[in-house]
Amino acid sequence: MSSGISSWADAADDVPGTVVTSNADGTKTVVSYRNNEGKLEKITQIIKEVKVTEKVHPLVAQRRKWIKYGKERNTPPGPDTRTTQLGEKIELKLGTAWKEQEKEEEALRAQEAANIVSDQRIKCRSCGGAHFTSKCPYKDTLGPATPAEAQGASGIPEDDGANGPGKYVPRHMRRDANGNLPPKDMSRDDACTLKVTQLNSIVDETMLRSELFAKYAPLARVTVVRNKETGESRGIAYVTFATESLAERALEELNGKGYYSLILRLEWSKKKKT
Amino acid sequence: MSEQELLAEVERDLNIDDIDFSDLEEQYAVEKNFGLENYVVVDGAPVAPESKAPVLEKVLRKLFSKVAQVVEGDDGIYMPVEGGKTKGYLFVQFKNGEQAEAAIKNFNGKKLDANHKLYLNKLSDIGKYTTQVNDEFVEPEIADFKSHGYLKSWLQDEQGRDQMAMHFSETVGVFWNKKKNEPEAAIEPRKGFTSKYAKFSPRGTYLFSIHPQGIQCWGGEDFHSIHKFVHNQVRLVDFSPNEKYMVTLSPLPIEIPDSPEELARCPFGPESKGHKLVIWDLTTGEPARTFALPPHLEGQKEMPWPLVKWSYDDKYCARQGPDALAIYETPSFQLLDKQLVKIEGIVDFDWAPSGVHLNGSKGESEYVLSYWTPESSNQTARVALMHIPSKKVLRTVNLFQVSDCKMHWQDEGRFMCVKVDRHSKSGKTLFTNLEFFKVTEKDIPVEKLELKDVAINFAWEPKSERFITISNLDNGNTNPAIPRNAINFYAPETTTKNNIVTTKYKLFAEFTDKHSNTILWAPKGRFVVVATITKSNGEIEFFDCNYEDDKTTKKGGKNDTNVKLLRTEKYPGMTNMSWDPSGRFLAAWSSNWMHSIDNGYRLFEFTGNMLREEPIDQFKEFIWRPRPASLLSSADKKTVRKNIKEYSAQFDENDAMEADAATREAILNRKRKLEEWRAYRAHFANKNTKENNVEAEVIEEIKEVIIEEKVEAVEQ
Amino acid sequence: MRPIKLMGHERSLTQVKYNREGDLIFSVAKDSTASIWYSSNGERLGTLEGHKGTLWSIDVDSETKFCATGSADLSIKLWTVENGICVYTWAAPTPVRRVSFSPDNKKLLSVTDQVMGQLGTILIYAVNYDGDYSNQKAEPILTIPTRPDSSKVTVAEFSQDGKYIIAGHEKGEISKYDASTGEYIQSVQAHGIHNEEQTVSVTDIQLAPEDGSYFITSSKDKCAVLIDLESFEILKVYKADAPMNTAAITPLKDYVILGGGQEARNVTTTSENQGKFEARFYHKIFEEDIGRVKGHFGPLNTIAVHPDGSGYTSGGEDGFIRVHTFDNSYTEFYYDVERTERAIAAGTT
Repeated sequence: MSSGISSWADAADDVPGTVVTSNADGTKTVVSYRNNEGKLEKITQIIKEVKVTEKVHPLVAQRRKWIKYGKERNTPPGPDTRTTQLGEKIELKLGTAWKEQEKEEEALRAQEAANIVSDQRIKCRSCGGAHFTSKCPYKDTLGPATPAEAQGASGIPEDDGANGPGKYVPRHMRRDANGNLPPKDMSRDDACTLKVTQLNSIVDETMLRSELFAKYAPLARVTVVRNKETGESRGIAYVTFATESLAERALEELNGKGYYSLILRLEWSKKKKT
Repeated sequence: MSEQELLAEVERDLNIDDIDFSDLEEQYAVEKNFGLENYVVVDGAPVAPESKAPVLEKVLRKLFSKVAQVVEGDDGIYMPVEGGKTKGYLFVQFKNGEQAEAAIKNFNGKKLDANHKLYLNKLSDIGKYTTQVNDEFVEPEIADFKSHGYLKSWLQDEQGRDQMAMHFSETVGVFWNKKKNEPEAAIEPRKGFTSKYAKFSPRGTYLFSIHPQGIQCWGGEDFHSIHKFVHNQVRLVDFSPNEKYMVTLSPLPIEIPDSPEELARCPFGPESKGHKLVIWDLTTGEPARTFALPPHLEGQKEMPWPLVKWSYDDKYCARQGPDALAIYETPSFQLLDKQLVKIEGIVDFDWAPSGVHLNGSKGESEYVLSYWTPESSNQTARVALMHIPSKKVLRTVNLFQVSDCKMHWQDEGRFMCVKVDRHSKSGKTLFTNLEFFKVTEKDIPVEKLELKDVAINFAWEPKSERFITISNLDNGNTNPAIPRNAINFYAPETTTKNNIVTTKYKLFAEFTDKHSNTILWAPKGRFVVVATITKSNGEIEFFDCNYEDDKTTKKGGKNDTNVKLLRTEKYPGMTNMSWDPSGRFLAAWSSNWMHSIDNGYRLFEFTGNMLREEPIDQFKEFIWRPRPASLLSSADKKTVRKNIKEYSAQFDENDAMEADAATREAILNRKRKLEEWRAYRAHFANKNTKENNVEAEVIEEIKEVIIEEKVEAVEQ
Repeated sequence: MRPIKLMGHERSLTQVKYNREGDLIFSVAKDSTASIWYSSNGERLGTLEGHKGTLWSIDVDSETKFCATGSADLSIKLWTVENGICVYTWAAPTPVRRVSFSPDNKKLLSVTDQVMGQLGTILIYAVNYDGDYSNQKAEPILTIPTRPDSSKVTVAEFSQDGKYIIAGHEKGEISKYDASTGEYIQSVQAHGIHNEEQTVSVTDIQLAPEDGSYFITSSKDKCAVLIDLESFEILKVYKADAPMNTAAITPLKDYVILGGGQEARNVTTTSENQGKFEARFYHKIFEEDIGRVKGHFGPLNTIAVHPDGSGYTSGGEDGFIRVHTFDNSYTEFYYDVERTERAIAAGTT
């Protein structure tokens, strides 16, 4: 959990998380996703750490030698991908007519993007050609290479099923970048979490914290599920209480009560049932 | 404890001052005008010789007894006599106040015989209103004529520019349209100008602002105050097409104040008490007629507006009531032929927007209105044309399985199209028929155009026979993201067969897979914008319906059916659009009344080329100032058209100069600001002190470098 | 340019700052941990742990020895930058909205919130800088309460020579006090006068990088204003279309950078408006809107410019920090009138 935006509650419609793979040649492959005007885009970056020499103020040089502390204690030198990533390229065009320029460029970019999409849409898994795998002319000679290889390499038995191709794997059960399964107890303890539905869309986290659930403080976590693009509340919130009994009290006292002209519905966050 | 002891005990506890007697006081209170309301003063009675007085008294007693009981005997009627003759007035006592009221209501202003009209007034009223009146006649002072200047001065602008009012935050300003450049203020923008909205009269002469107390009219070059129309809590305003009358509506019924001072300031007479709808004479500023709201509209949240519709020249106006139409003549505002026009079940009506040249009317312009009535158990739905003032029904069309009708008059009154939304027998599917009344032809033939789907919008091209519809393909899919609307362009096609010329409407262009929902023709036709205005979407498409290209010029210049989409402009957040009166510019804006996203306006050329974009905080409305009809004759216009090249050269030159001046102004402004800043900074020139001159050191650092990057779209 | 994204905070950012040489970036957010980053590559030097509530403000002294944090947990903490150890904690009467070192590092200013029956106040603490820094005077040496004819103070800064304290208030006024006596000198109504906005509280004050002789203030009234320190006259006004949370003046170039945006709950619109959360560049002298930098997914809460003018850092409501290094197009842009001026200057020297 490194950023404020990809919080657990909107994970449902969130873009997939960033995956970092270390390559044999010392480079890293960073695969991240972003939501560009409703279209999901996958960004693949190959990143190399390079050593550069710079001329700096002696004080700065001195500070460069400081030992890292706090959460960074004992981490290797250089930026850590968990907290530091290179962003997408941005152009700052200064001028009085920047609005017009921007518009033109946007149109151009949209067109380019459309071209990319049409190029990339179909890709054969066997030969990489622009056709479906099943229609591959080299189907018999090459075979569907990648999945088999991957499985063989990591030595995971077939019946595991978790990473089988084409099968949906919930995010929290996916392998991490190194192919390890997540520890079983990693899934969030939702014993103290309530799901609040039928919330008025004007209600935000602050209102929940300081008005509705103020009596059941302290609240570990309050998250309103929002539309990723518009920021509009979807009328659902997850509230994590300090103890289960507090949560239970809130459930009993508030379920079915009116709040901002809607009748609240509170229930245990789904995971408790299973 | 005995009863007496108990009473004594109670009395001791009770303090007589603490007891509330108000209920008893109220019950036995003596009314101020005790008995006086039973008396009525009757004026206008015949002056009769004393000998005839008893006969007169008897006649009157009999007359009043029809509706009210007159007190028996001499106490009932007192008729003063002077010099052997009655004085023409008498006092009547009725049994009670209500009966007195009834008598006044029935007989006030009514004729007793051919020569005598009776005037009945309550005695209490006479007392109330005459004490203030001076017996001596004082010549009323006629206020000096105050000139309001030339009210149409904006039309004399040398460059022929148009004005617009812009409403943002609480401010309204009137500006000259300067195309690309910042609009030039015609008057200093006024803060708190209106409490609701601002409105121009239909010909642009006046600007109106709405206030809790009523409406304020502004005009002249400096927009000074011209008149105040007192109408408490007024909400809605409308005008007759020729600016003669204004109609206002307030949710509060008119109250007639009691005190004489307030009464003097109140423009309404006692007959207006409780009314909500007022028609004003714009030239005098006085109310011409007031109406109560029809009972079926009382308490209605959404008020149909306008409630009063006008004939094209302000000669007649009409109001729709349940099962009837009330048509009034101006300026008297009396009912036409003193009666309502009964129309069972009338849903809607419309005046022809122009004088109609009916076949056989020898070139005279006639008044025509259209209305429709829905299906009932034993009656088909009907659309009819009625001639006014004869009230003769000119043509009726019967329709079946009708869900809804919308009447669209062509602006010259030559055609009237009824968009009929029909349902299949099962009621499941909807489709639209268009019924065209060819009003100027003999016997008014009606052409029917059956569409396969539902037309959600219809618009005639001004001064033309072409029209556009937006149809909605209902394929059962309700996903709002999928565009299902089509824009259809129609034109009449003339065929000659056996020397009989017939015209039929033909679809000549179609644009499908659209979200569009709004059609706005340029006021002079030919160009049209079709737009999508929804919460999540905004798009304007500019069309030229007489596009000239090689193909059409080859055909000999006839290009009435060559539509070209000139440009598509996205404008998310857009809430409204409006053409300027000349049809050269289109303003589109995002209004704070609808939402607070990206408020501001954009100005386009008719070709779709954006001239200007200005985000303005809390922008509310962009109001073009309308122009009156052109005074040029068609011959004059022809000459202008012939010499258009010379005119346009002049305007081009002006434009160039204007543009140059604006850039120069901007550059000079920057230069001035830069000089000012440098002068300001010069004061601090020597104060900058610290200099860090330390030898730099070389360090080694780890940096990440992106070697390769690619972006792919992921299918979801 | 390619910004570096720093994702060390879990909640929205409240303040980012550079140290004097610009090699370190100090950031605080509504989570209770402050972070310190190397600006050149985005590597995190460390985190400052110990607060129990939202961190509203951070400042670093001119020698990068200490930094101070102000928190909603009613405390101000003093840390050594080198090792991230908290050396002293001052208790504050109410949540601390702003902290700032005096130019000589001997004093620390704090703005405390107007809650719990307490008035919004500027408190000045003495800092035992060179001596035993774990032994500090707990009580403030100077208290500047809200004047009765003014509104509560929201932000405050020392002037560059340490003579004055400049404060921004909830009703849009900017006031000046004597930093040693706390005496009120003057004030100016800088915000809420350029339009008809109702919310006009001042959100940020930053000094001119060249000599601090003027400063910029931002406000919820959708404007930023440039004010001369001595005369307290308004020099320039920059108008935006959303509430502004922060404003900074750039060295080298005559620009100002503004950050802000409509709050999330007020944004219910199309995807096309996504990313309307931009840093806005204005020409400082001409007051013209000359460019935008996109990237954040929420309003920008704080902006700091690198002391050498080579870049800037922004922190957003979205929990991200973005570190930007300008490329050539930034330095090479001039208005024609500026080019003319430079040509004349070059010709005459």
